[in-house]
Amino acid sequence: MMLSRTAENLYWLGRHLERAEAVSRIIREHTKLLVDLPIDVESDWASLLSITGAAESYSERYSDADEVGIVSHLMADIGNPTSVIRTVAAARENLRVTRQLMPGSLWECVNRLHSTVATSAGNCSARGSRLDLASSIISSSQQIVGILASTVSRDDAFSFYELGRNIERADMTTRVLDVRAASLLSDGARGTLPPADRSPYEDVRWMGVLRSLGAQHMYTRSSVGSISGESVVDFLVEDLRFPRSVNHCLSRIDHILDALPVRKLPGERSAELKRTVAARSASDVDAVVLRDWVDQVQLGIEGLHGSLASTFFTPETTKSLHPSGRVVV
Amino acid sequence: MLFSDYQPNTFDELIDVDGTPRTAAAGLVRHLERLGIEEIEERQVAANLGIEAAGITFTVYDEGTGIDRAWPFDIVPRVISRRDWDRVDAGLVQRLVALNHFIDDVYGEQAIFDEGLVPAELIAESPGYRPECRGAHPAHNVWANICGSDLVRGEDGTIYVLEDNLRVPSGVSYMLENRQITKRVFPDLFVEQSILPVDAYPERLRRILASLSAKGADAVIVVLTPGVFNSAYFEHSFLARQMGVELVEGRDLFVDEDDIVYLRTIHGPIQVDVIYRRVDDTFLDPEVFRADSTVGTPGLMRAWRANNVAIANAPGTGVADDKAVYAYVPDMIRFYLHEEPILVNVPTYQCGIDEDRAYVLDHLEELVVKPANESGGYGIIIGPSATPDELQQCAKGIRNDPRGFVAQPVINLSVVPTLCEGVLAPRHVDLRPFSLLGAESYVTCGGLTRVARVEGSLVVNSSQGGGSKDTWVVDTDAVVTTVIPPTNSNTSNTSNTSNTSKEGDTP
Repeated sequence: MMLSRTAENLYWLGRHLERAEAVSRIIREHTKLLVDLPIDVESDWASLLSITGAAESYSERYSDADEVGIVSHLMADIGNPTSVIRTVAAARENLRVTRQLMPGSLWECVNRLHSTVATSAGNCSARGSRLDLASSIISSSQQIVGILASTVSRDDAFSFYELGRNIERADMTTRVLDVRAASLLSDGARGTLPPADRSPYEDVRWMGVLRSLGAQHMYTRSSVGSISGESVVDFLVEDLRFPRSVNHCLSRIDHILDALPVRKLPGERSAELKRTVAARSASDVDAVVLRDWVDQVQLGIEGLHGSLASTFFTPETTKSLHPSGRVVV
Repeated sequence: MLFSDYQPNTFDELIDVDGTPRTAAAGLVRHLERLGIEEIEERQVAANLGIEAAGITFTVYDEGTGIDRAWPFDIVPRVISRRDWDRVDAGLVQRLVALNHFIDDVYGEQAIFDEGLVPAELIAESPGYRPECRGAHPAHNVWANICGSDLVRGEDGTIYVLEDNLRVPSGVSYMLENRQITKRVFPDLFVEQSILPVDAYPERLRRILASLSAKGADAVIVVLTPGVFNSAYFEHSFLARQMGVELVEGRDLFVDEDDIVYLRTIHGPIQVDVIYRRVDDTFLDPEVFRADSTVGTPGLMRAWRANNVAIANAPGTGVADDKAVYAYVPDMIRFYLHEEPILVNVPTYQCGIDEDRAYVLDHLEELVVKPANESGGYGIIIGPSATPDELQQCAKGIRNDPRGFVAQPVINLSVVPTLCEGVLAPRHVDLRPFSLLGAESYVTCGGLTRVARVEGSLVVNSSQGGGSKDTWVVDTDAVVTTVIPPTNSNTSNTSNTSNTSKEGDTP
């Protein structure tokens, strides 16, 4: 038996933890990327605002899109609902109301993550301490994932956490593709030029895309030859073996939905989403086409989220109308 | 020496008047002296870190916002001898049984009013009285299944009952957590002597709640909380987890036209049989009580009156949790049980009675004045330490709403050595044991000891800056054997380990 409210909180626990880790990684990798780029190359911190959907909340507060302002908005600004400090606090609240279902070590770990972020998120203007903080958030997140992977039964509680995590992952991967990959591609569509004619920094930037999703090493292992925009996009969308690829996340979601008590509507939405993803023409790396495709996928993710909400989180309130049609007495 | 400068000016729970340890505390005092103050301080630091890591918190309200604070804990335990405790245990059960007779009577025949023992208007005016509960019949005729009593010990060693908290008493989770911490801090002491265990509480609570439903052990039990912003949320969550039942909010439940309570789950609606509610009466059901309640569930009272769900404590129980009704508890024991009270009350003046009020107004500076219906130590005026201005305000309050106040002589609460800035110093304590009543009864072995951290202060409430201590009921008659029990043996009846207690005999 699981409460609808509990399911919703576990789902958001998964989403919030995943988001905190993802944003920290994006900040860390972008900071490191600067080291590899010449001083006159524009560092494009504003792209981080687009990826995390924080452009609007940022422009309401600040006029200049500078590094320190953007990083602290994404890391430490409690006025930004997608900031790391806010998502970690939200994850802690999600867990606080569901902790009776989870091992005590998970609560301790999330608690520690929360106090680390609460005490040090303000020190993210200097690059050195920012890298330390981001790395420590990432390793705490990985410890949390490890606790869940190795000490939590694969029951409904785990399923909702896992649904949230995979939906957030698929969402983040497509957002990175939308902002980063598409902008690289539109910079004169150099992804299709022969390697010798490309800017030396383009490779570095494509590597940056992979790194911001923790995908660089696995990409290198799986691909032959030099890095190309086309193969990076392919890898991040298609490669079923890589846990942050869109397809991997969707197949995990399908697998989890299969085990849930009611799966009609979410199952339909998930199948639709998979069709949308598959409709991408793999050889087409045109920026406009990619952006259109991402828009469709994002709509599909939203639809899937909505179907989970209406089926599990806020179902009909009279017993005869519940989608399961089942009354347990 | 650790205790050479230690000078309590009232009854000390650990140290006798001649400076030697009391029998039950001898093992502890020896151990503390062996450790020395520096080691004690180190263990206090370790305990604090453990509390922080485990996220054991309580909430204080400051200007409308709740702030989570780490649970304040002092590592020097309070010790009570088992012989003292057995008497307290029997006294608490006696009181809870009598109080339940009283509540059942108030909502039923009202025989005690006919006898003239308790004035009927006292009840009619009580804010805890719910006319909506007249004629209801909870299981076993028990309305208050869970009671948290406040006990204090006076200068001469007498233990008094100060309050019977029958609405939604809290603190039991901290009692259990304090024991967990102390076991880590003083593991040796638990081996060397017989300290009665407290951790059976959640299981006993679950059994008593299950006994309120005809389905017994198969009953679906839930803990109903007002939500994560309630100051006792930590405890609600803790108890649900320890009992292995769902922690729910009002919005997780709904009552259908069949007057049955259902839980909203991912599997569809599931019928609920027993609700351990930690929500005040008036917020339970907007159909009957406060229509603006967002933490309740519409229809809950319908379902309860139709006997389709048990609610613990039952709605209306608060009528007996009233500082004006408190004064009559000894009479209730004599009336319903034909027994003499085992535990005594603190003499109580009811400002609603003319001559009592006159006395109180004349002696404000030597009395403790309490609002009849507040908890958590809010609104209490301690005469001897109040400013003239506060006393004047207090007198005004009493004249405006006489029924709203009671007064009691100041009890110079007993003290326990407490770690204060590098020394062990005497600090005043009270004690909140928890009693359960359903098909069976149960009293915790000890309870939650609360300690005032400021020298001389009598205010122990954690919401007012008080701390807490583990409470040991020590059986000095028990011969402690440290024999490791044989594995693979079913001969527990013939086992001669005498540190088993009545709490140990869970099924």
